[in-house]
Amino acid sequence: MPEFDEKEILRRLEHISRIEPAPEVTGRALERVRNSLSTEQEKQERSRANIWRTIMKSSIAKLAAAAVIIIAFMFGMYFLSGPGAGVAFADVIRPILNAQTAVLDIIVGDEDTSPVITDMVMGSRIRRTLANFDAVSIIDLETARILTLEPKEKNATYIDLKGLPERKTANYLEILRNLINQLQDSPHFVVEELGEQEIEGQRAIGFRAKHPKAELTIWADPETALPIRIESQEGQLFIICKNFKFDVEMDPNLFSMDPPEGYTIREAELDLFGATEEDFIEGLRIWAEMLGEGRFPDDISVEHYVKQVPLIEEKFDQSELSDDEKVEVGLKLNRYLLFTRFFKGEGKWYYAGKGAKLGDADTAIFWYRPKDSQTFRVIYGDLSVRDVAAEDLPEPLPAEEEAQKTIGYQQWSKSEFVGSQEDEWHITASNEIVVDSHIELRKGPQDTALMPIVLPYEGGQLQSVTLGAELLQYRQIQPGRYEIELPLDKLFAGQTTMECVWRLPLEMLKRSAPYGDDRVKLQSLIPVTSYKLTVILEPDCNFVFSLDPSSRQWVPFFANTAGSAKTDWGVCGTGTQPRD
Amino acid sequence: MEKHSQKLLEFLERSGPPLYALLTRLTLRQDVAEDLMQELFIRLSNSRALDNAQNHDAYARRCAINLAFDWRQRSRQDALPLDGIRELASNDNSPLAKLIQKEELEEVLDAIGKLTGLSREAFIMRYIEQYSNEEIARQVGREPHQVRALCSRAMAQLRSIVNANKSSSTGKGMGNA
Repeated sequence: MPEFDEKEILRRLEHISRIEPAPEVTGRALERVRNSLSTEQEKQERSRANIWRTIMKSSIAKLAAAAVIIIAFMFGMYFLSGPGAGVAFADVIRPILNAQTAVLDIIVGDEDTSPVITDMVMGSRIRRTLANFDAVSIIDLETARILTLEPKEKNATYIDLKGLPERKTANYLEILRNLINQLQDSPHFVVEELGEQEIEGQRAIGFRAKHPKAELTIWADPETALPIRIESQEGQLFIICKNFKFDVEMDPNLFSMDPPEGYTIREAELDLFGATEEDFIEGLRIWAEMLGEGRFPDDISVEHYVKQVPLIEEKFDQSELSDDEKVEVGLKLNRYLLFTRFFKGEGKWYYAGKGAKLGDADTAIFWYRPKDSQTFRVIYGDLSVRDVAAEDLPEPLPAEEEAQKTIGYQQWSKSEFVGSQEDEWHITASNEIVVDSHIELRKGPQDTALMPIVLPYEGGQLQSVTLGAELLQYRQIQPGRYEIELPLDKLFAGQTTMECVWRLPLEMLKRSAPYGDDRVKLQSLIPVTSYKLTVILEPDCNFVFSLDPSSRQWVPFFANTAGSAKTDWGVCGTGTQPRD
Repeated sequence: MEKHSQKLLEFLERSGPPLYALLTRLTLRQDVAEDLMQELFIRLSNSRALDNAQNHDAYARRCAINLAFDWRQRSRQDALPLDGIRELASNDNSPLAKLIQKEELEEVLDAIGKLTGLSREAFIMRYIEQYSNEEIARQVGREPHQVRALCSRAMAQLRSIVNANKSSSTGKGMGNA
């Protein structure tokens, strides 16, 4: 059978590229989209009007919604701050840091359809109210307790929060100050200037700060440096904070944790970080069986859940559950929501359950990577779970998850250079390994432009170092150790991708007795927060991959860390065997 | 809401036609492309992600590509309603020739579906949308030489996927033209 060559592929691709839909068909498709968007908008407006009316009428729905609202936005301000890249960013965050009291509006998700939450912050306590919602919550971080008051019904509910960090803090704003200190030395944290724009009807200067766990955009008044609007993307939760006022005089009685006279007191408990995969699966089951008529939810975000409260209310009313059972189901749904809200896995979670039926064993509806795991957990429509390698996921990971792009190079107080690294190990016909180490530089010390690198093997020989198209100077210090001269101006200008090419005789790798392949020391050239190794077999080389002899490349290792950067990533095999 | 909807409608007018063309090319079905186009914009409407994305075109394209390949994974097409599509200069417009042609294109598209992440996106932009490496680099936030390397690796990967498919299923491959 003839080999399928590149020319033939190109011929077919060109064929596809020349396909043009007829203008009238395109016009029809666009018109259909316009109509759908218009219908969708009406639907959203109707839904917005209904949600809070329904919540207010129903105690069960209130219970389900209130806990969600509290937990969903509890930590909305955790990532408000970060280390300053320059004086301007520091100026912008200073009012937040220096404030004794604060008032702000918080919106989760869509600004136009989501309810507005107003927070008053004083010391360790937050007084939280929701637009059109006749209840108020006082959150006390010192005792990890929430008091929710419903004046009309004269109900007072205490919720004890479990799972909060053990070290208690006396001041909510102090949390932010502590967080800044923690983030300051994070190799991940970078700040980008966005320039000036009109925001909320006034001139504003913007900054975007990025961290693997959150992305934060702050718009501030260029004259006073007071924040105007803060947008944060934490995991898959988008939160807007605006209408800030700092150091406003407040009545301490508004923050009292004692309910007024004549209120009926209830107690409940909520473990914020204790939700497990089993809790999540149970929530999916409840949703499909009780709310979705056999189908999983369209979306599992907090935002979607809050919008579905009327449906939950309706289905609860139709059910034959007792009040106690309804509360139990409500709590289960809370735990289901907590699993993704306070997600403890690596990277993002992925949901593809829209339209899928409960019991469909072939449809993957959710997948995520647990902390420190190299494989993903995939939940199927029959609610079975399997461990799956990244390359076997139902859908490829989005580009940003595969390789996190940095937004620039910044200097910090530490003495080491850090970045992320992807290696391609080419095994050649002459039994040699040629390694392309692609390093995305992220941070470096302030007082030097000389970057030390250490090859994983002393016998390795560095061949070239480039940054963009520019060849960089380097010198050998010891066997396997080099010093590279960095052009800092180029790094600051955003050119941060470096390529180091080095060689190694194949015989330097140890052949492993149990596995039969060559063992590779997984060691990055500088401390990195993610490391990926791809083994590529050059044409006519003397090896094939054991699992798939027809394949030419394989990724035996990929990992990243949200913590500090490191060079030692362990050992793995090349997955190769000599060609017969 | 009005502001978001207005922005979305403006985006539809500007980028709708190329997105629809891309969906048609990736599905080879105008009716499916029409459905996916609707789904794409409903998703964009329900999410603020487009507003937050630095490059709207790149974000919407990635969504469109994912939708098209999700659909390809879910379904095996049984007909090729390419009627109405202005395409393919060919001397032979017989039903048989069209069928063979369709099978050839499906084979390559299915293989592209097995590429992952940025390499699939860059490959589609390079060879199906015919963008230059520089333009792709600008859109995906990489350097042109990185795009060149990505596409080159993707091409090698594609070749081995198609050849592996050919050797595992007799009589499916069309061979060289």
